[in-house]
Amino acid sequence: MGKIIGIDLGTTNSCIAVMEGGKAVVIHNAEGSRTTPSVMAMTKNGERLIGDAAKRQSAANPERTVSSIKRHMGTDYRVKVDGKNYLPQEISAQILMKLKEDAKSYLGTEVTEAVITVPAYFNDAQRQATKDAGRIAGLDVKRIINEPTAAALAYGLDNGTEQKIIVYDLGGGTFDVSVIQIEDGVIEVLATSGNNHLGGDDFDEAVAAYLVETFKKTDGIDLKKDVQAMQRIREAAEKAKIELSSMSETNINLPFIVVERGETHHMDIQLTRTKFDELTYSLVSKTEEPVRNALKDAGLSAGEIDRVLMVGGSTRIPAVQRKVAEITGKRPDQSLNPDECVALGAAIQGGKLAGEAGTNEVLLMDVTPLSLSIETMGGMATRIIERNSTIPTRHSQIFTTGANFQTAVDIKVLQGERMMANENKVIGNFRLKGIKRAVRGVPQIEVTFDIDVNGILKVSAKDLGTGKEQSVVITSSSNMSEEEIKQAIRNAKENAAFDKEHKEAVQSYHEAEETLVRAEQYLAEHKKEIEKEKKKAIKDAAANLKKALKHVKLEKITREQAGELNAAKEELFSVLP
Amino acid sequence: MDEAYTILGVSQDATDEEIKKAYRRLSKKYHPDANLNQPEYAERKFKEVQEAYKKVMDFRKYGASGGNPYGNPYQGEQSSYGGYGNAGTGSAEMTAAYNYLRAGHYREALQVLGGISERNAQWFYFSAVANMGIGNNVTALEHAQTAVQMDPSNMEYRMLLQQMQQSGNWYQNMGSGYGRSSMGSSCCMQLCMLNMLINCCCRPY
Repeated sequence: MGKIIGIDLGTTNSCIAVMEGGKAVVIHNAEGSRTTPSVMAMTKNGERLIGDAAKRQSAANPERTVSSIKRHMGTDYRVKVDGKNYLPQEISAQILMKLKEDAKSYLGTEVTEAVITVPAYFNDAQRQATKDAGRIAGLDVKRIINEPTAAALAYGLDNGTEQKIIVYDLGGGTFDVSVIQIEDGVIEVLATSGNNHLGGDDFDEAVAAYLVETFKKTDGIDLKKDVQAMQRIREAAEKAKIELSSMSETNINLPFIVVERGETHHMDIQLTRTKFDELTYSLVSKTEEPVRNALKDAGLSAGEIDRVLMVGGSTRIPAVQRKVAEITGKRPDQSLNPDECVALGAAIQGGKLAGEAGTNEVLLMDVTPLSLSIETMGGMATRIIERNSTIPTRHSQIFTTGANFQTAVDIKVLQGERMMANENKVIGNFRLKGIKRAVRGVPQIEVTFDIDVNGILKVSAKDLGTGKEQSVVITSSSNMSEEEIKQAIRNAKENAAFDKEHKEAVQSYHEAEETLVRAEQYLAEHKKEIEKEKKKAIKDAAANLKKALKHVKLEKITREQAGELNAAKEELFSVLP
Repeated sequence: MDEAYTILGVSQDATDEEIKKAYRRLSKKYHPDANLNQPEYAERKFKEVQEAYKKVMDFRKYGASGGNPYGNPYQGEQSSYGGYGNAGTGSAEMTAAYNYLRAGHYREALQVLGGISERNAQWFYFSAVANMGIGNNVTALEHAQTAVQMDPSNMEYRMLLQQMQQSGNWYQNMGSGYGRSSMGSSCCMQLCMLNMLINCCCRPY
């Protein structure tokens, strides 16, 4: 059996790991880094960039750069790049493909199976979207596991003693908190809570907004609509945030930020940690309630917690650490690498699923983060599965009709904690037809919710009176149909083939140019000593190549043109000494 | 409810702590990740354990009335439907069977009962009522007898049996010609049974 790699598909950064010799290790990417920015870009030349390369050019090319796509997973959001609409799943798939390639070159074998992590607080649609992204990238997703649970796994493998821990995971775009019990090899999630739209990105935005506002005061120019300037400001804000974790003051210096009426403006703003804490105070405070809720659901008080594990890059912020200490009364534990432990945990789970040694003794028992219900009369949400139920799980409940001679019922599947149906998220809809005519209250319809080990829900309904059953796979509007997934897989393969071809064509172009320059140099340097015939041969071949190059536009280079360039280049090459 | 305790392998008077321990042990035993060579079987067993644990703990927490009190369906639009709770009948199917009986839909009740594999005294009692409802008197009598045999202390079961035997005599006395078309008496009979049923089922276990 091949290796099952662990992937932490993050909002801002992703990380991959694998089991080696009974230990989980992080896989370096092709650029030599341990994490890869979750950024995709198309260059003006039509080249696709993923990771560091994409992030580096984002200020110069903001319209064709896509970042933090994870925030849109499981929604109807579409991102337009070069006139083409992409689903969040497709962008994520491209990032996954790059990670898969990096793992392949590290391991020296084909990689086809993976465990991918998601925020614990991700809903059904978001989980399904992540699984689909994996499929589009050509990965068999063996398991979707929750990020805080993965972190606990990375921690628990070496710390098997009985204890109760809180995992506080503040990532780039999501916040999760899980209360976990580690007991004789079982890592059991007791409760989980969080906020799907709170993370490091929001801290950057808060700083960026402050910079824009300050600049408006000093220079009287509003930069909000200047896409390029904003991209530079956002990057500088992120950098300042990171610096303020270790320094008490930093300087944001962006020369030539804007030219207005012929006058060049520079941004030069001093930011103290105190000011930073003030700007982000409300964001830090937002993490308190989920921590308290998770503790309450677990039936524990803060005093019963042995340890608080900090996960996610944003937990490096001193104000966040202070907040955690204030809520839990404990000094947060930073023994794990907050950027890598999630991927390591995913790799351990992958190793376990592949039956690798060293992972047998540990078992993960996770929960479903949100209650699942169906809409019943009066717009109420009637719970079928309570939040924090251990998964996999299955529950049924009997319902009846509310009107006389009703022959069909619409079953609206909801996820969330609110009492009214319309305040929860609708994750699916279907209709059970052919119910035997009877007065209201008579038909007995059994609705069954089934959550698998990945936390993904299947719903079925059965008319007990007739035995007629309708098993229904949940299809939310944001989820992709089987046909759409297959199309996306084809597109991804085509894109990969196109990218490869395009890369080779661009390479041919550059080589042709290089050869031409060499030929011209040679002619210039050896003007006198070359024989006439040879000179003419070189000159002709060079002119030929020059002509071929002139016909080609780099951003629209085709395979045929690359072939012509190659031929002309070879010809010139053969006459050069 | 008995079944839930059996799945967890504990007795009815086990402490919450003992039940929790048993639940943990079984969860670990049946988790699909601990059974990579037979994940589907394990997943099914694991779900059974989860369901049984929830049932037992809910029962202990909320008592016989259940967390979801029994109620009539809500009124409203065509496409909506109301919820039923668990009336202490042990399983959703038994509740459904009971609800059909209560509404006089005997065929549907039999359909539901046919899908239940665990057949206790109550099952035979329900089956007896349903069979009688569709005029299947022989089976009805047999099942009423089985119910009484399985749970001799239950007064409702005995009363049903007694009543059946009496009415059987009555039919015999009146001669076969009269037959099953005696609407009046069967209606009356149904009402009697309904009364008994309600007494029986709403009694907290």
